[in-house]
Amino acid sequence: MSAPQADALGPYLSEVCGTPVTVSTPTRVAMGQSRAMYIVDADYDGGTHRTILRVEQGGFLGSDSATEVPVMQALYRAGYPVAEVLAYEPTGTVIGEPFFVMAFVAGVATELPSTLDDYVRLLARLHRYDPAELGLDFFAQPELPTGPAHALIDRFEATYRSGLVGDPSPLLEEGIAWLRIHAPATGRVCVVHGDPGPGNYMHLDGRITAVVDWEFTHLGDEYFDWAYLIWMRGKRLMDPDAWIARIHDVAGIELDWERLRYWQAVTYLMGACIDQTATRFYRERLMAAPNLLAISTGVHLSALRRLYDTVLA
Amino acid sequence: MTIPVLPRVEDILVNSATALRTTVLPTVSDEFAHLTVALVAAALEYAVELLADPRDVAHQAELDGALNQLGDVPGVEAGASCFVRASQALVWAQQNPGPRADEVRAVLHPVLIGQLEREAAAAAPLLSTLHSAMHKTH
Repeated sequence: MSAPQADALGPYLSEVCGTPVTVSTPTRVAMGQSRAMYIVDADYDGGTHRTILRVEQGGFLGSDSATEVPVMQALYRAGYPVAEVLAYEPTGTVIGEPFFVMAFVAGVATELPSTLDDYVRLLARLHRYDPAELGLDFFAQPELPTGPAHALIDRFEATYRSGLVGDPSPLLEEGIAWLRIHAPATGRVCVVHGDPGPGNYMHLDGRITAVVDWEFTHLGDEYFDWAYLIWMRGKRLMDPDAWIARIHDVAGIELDWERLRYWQAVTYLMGACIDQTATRFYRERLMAAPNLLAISTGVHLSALRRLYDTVLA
Repeated sequence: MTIPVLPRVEDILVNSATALRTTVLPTVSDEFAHLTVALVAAALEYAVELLADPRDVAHQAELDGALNQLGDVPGVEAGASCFVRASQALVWAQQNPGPRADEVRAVLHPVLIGQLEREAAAAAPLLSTLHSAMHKTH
């Protein structure tokens, strides 16, 4: 963030809060790929309040704050452990990109096995919410039985196509076709986190303090979250059978292996498709960050290979 | 000409990556800046490897050869690029199961997976740099 952009934060927050606010120089934090994250100390009402600034990056990875913010606000109101959103600037006119400011939550996002059971319970709790009661009816409601799968494939395919700079990826095109043909039935639409697991929740002294990264949250099939937890974020901690047993023991959820395999493939599709956006951003020099090169090559290919191994090989 | 022998691109990239790793990285304490420098060094090394082995032309020729071996596949647009034709052939094969679909996959999959593996190997240092930083997330 440039100095002029940082200078605009204080006046903006003063206007939003209705009281004079002065802010520290934003400090970039390394976590997260889709957004630029900064720690900002805001002085107002006679005290210093630590906040986190979450700044969009031109739609990188195919997400924005337009759904993330109301989801976080709804869950915060419901007593779910998420950071409180203090301000949301959707226009991009203040610092050049849309952003929101949230309360700083103490904790770290490292993998800590002793927190896994609590996390599984929290994820199951998320899935039990009635989206309408939470006020999340602004989301498109996918039609049962196969709408949740098709809606997600459509979303990821659109993201993939937005990131193409030339020829398509044959294996990815084939994977999309396979997933459309084999879309399974979903019994109930629920709130799906979309990127769940270790690394996306904060904990302190063994207690979970906040679940983070709600940019891929949607209404759909809870199996997406369970597959993502098992094969993406949680894969280094336990093998799939151990995860399935753990989820059963902790949350009483009996996961169907065949259905899980389908959603496992969807998580790989997601990875390969959203990573495709890095290709265009890097090629067109929309962002100079070197992580884009890693994402558009190694990360993308890793997801594509796993998609191939899961359903095409 | 005042410099009879101009610097070679490879040398510039390799030496820049070495300087970043040996001189700059050890002095960078800021976590985000450290990750950025490590990734820039890995990107320079990736560029060196790409300069030495520009694989895209070879990949296209290889895929073209496989498509020629297959002959006509329904739904495949003659004259399109090999990646478009391979995509169309594989999607058609998914939508039309049978011996011809199996043949399409049997010819195209090994070529595409071979190319994927070569690219993945070239990008492995970039990936490991990124992952090592992500797993230290705080």
